[in-house]
Amino acid sequence: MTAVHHVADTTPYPWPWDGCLRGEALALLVCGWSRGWAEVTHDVAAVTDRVDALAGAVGDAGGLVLTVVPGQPSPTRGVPPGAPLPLDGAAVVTAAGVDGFWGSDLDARLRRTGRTQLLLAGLGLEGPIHSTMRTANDMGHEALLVIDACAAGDPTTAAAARSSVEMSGGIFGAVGTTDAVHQALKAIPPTPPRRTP
Amino acid sequence: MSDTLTTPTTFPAVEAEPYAWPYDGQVDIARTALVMIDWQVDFCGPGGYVDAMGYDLQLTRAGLEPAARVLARARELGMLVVHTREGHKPDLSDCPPNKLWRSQRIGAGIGDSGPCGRILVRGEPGWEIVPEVAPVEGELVLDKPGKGSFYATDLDLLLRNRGITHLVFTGITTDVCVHTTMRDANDRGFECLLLTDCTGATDVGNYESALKMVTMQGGVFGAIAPSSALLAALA
Repeated sequence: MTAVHHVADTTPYPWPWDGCLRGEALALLVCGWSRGWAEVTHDVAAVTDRVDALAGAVGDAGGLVLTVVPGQPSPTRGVPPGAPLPLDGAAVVTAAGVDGFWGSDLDARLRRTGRTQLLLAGLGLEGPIHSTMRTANDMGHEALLVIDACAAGDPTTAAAARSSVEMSGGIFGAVGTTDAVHQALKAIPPTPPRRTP
Repeated sequence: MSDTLTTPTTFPAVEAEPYAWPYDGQVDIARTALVMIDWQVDFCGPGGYVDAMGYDLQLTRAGLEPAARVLARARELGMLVVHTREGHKPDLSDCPPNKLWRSQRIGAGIGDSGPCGRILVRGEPGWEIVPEVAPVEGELVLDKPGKGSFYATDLDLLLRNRGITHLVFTGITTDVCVHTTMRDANDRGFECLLLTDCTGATDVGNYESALKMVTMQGGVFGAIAPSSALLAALA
């Protein structure tokens, strides 16, 4: 491997782990992208602007952009999903659970298109975003939580939701910002680095 | 209560947050399982993985004693008990390369030799469940390669085959393996209760927030209660 290409300033390690950021391996998962989750999270307008910017940059780099509408497993509690929110250039995944992988074709879509580097954003940092990131990580995907493109339900739990990802050397992946992702995608080398076995 | 013919099989609801658990009104022992998550030396014993990373073991051991009390009561009542263990095959073929790399980067490499054998490897001393809550004959012991207990395991099938619909959780760590498993269980339709004093994390703030996250949005992942509330309901 001659060169590596990371997103700058990610914590607790330079993301992606192998330094092989590539548009064709990349997917942006915009979780909780529904009116129901917009009603129970904060800073939705600012997050929407960043999600729009991310979606454009990821699409331009050859990445896949998906919005995920979570399901509501219980009729008596949790968040009824409500109508999907729009996002230019995105395909919509509908899940049966808070986790975007549960009862959806998300896994099939990612496999079919060879996506293994996942950017997590959207509405419900502690809810759909975290659940989806956890499953993605167990599956071996390399996940980055784009923290300023995530709307949280509560400021206290938001800090812990970030910290939980960063503990133990990045137990679910890493954390970065919209700007840093944007810069990294603009600077992907014409022949991206590949990990040598 | 020792006469099985007179042991009740249903109990009143548990005083819990944000709603009395379970939602359907009573605890039915035949449909409920106690899930003991990752009470392994690697996560709460000296010389294990968490110790090797430099975290305070008292934080992950804090819930051990109350969890042992709940386990004893569950056994008296004949409740199904499931123990989970995180660990990898000796050749690490079930360990994602990024997980392996991250662990090596912080000096606690999965598969590396430590005071309790190879870190997070099945069959090693560090992978064993600590004696305080060790499984007994007839209890399910589930090995898992990830944080969640449903991913790449047969847990869902094992629970369905026994008609289990309700899960009570103890274990470590609260914000990682316990939360991931509870989230997955809730998505699958299981009615979940997390016992607040029977769990712990490597960071107190993350433990507290993980409990709060369960109670948000009317109990988005289920409910939480101290073990005293469960034991009172099961008296």
